[in-house]
Amino acid sequence: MPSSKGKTKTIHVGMLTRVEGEGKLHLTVDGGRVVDLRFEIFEPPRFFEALLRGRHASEAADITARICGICPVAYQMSALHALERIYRVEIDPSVRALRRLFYCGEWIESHALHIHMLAAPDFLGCESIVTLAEKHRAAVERGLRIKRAGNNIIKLLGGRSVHPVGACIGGFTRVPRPAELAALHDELVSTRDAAVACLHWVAGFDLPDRRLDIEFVSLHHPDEYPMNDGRVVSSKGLNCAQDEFDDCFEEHQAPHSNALHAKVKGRGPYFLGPLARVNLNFDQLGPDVASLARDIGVSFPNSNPYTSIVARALETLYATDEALRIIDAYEPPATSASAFTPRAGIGRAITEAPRGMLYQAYETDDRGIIRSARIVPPTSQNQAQMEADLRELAPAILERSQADAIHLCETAIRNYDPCISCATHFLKLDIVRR
Amino acid sequence: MIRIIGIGSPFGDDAAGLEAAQQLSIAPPPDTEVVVADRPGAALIDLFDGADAVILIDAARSGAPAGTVHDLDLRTRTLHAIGVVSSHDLGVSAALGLAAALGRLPSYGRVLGIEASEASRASITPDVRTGVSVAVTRAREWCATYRSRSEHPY
Repeated sequence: MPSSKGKTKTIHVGMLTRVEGEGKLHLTVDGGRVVDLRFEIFEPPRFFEALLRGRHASEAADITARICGICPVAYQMSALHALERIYRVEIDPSVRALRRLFYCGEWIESHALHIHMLAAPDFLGCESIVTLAEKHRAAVERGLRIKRAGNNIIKLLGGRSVHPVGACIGGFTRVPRPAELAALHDELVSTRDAAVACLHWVAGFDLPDRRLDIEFVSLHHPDEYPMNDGRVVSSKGLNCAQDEFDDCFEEHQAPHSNALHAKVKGRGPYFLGPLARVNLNFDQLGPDVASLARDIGVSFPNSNPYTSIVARALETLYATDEALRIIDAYEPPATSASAFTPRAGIGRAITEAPRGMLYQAYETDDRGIIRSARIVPPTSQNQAQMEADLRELAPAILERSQADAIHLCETAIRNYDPCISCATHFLKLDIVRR
Repeated sequence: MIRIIGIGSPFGDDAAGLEAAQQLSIAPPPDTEVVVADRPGAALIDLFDGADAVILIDAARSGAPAGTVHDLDLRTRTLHAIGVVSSHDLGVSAALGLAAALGRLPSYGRVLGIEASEASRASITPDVRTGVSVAVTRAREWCATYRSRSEHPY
């Protein structure tokens, strides 16, 4: 409960739930004005960039897959693309399609998990997935089926559904036989129906209406919805190549966070993830998904961060359709992986993790030994935007009860689906009112 | 059919449940399927499907001496704590809670928790390895008892 002592009021709130990791939010308000807001990530650094130094480039995909249990494909893909740029590896079109299928699996399982287990309880008055399951059993069962379909794609291509090991420089260590892919077909057809139902379900939630001045950033590709390929674009006119990341964005240390903050050079925070991708690539969703999107009563582009859950459901449907297209058109490549010869150089690449753009850069010597590695996860890039969002929300929080204040903060942060262990954990809330 | 599910990570004492399941899989009890599940998250619920009874074996931390085997009824409500639900999926207790809410808990089941010591060590510590042997024996006894009751319910 709020307490008063002189002119200062303090609220202590326990751990934020339903996000990955631990952190703390400190909020100081003086006369109704926010004077200090710190989203503190205090989980120790994990030193993956240092772990990669001295290892051979061929080990990078297996090491980076260990960064995250929910988006390992993204870590593998960005690492492989960066290294393949150094070694000028030509990727067989069938391998490219399989990697896109791999990514579809990750989006499906990650988005289904977030929609049903983490975010939906916020909008349906449930404290957890368990109470949600008691009240909305069919929806939760449906969500688990969607998630399973995504995991099964990853398991087929990666050898296992968590921390997959199948991807390598040039392709995969093994590619599936057409019959193995065809075995996923029926499950994905029923998953498509489930994804459509899920989209209608979340579009019917009573989402708060908050329009923010946000710079949305994502990859953009003229011919396809962005996953593994494309240029970096933003809702405020940014347009650059992947290897120009450092020309357009800058990272900086915030004293209260063990994860680096990021901003668009000369401007400020930016927003990554499904809502950014849908806003910037709506036409690439294709006519079927776009038509459904128009039917549900949530318009895009949309600057309301609470519509992230709808964007996530749209992408789940898109990824399911795309997976079916890839499976139906699949012809095995001549070889599972293109050969490569190590050479000295620097390679940079961005792919679209479920939570947004994941940038990696590597320098290797002529034997393929990694001399430097840099990994910029989407959650660390979203931190500053999360703080900006909370700063806008703060005056409303102060008018609320303890329980409502927690709920508002948690819901706002969960819109970003932060993976704090990737960036590095999450949330106790202190509010000081003067 | 009884399904024995070993849960854990490959590292240190956290691998106790996996090791017990691997030992049981060499010569499974009759009408029993053994699954070495790693960390299944929400997919644990799917592993209950089609089983008349389930035995979960996992490393545990309660403050008891290392290697102690806790033998609990899987349907005990206090096991179904929501615990930590994160973007990195559900823990075992949360998955049990979700299975209970969805009506997908097996009718009969045990949880064998092997008290861990130092999960950060590379391999299973000697006390916990003894606990693995106890859990394997306990699982076989439970399967025999369950079959006996099933065959002679009265």
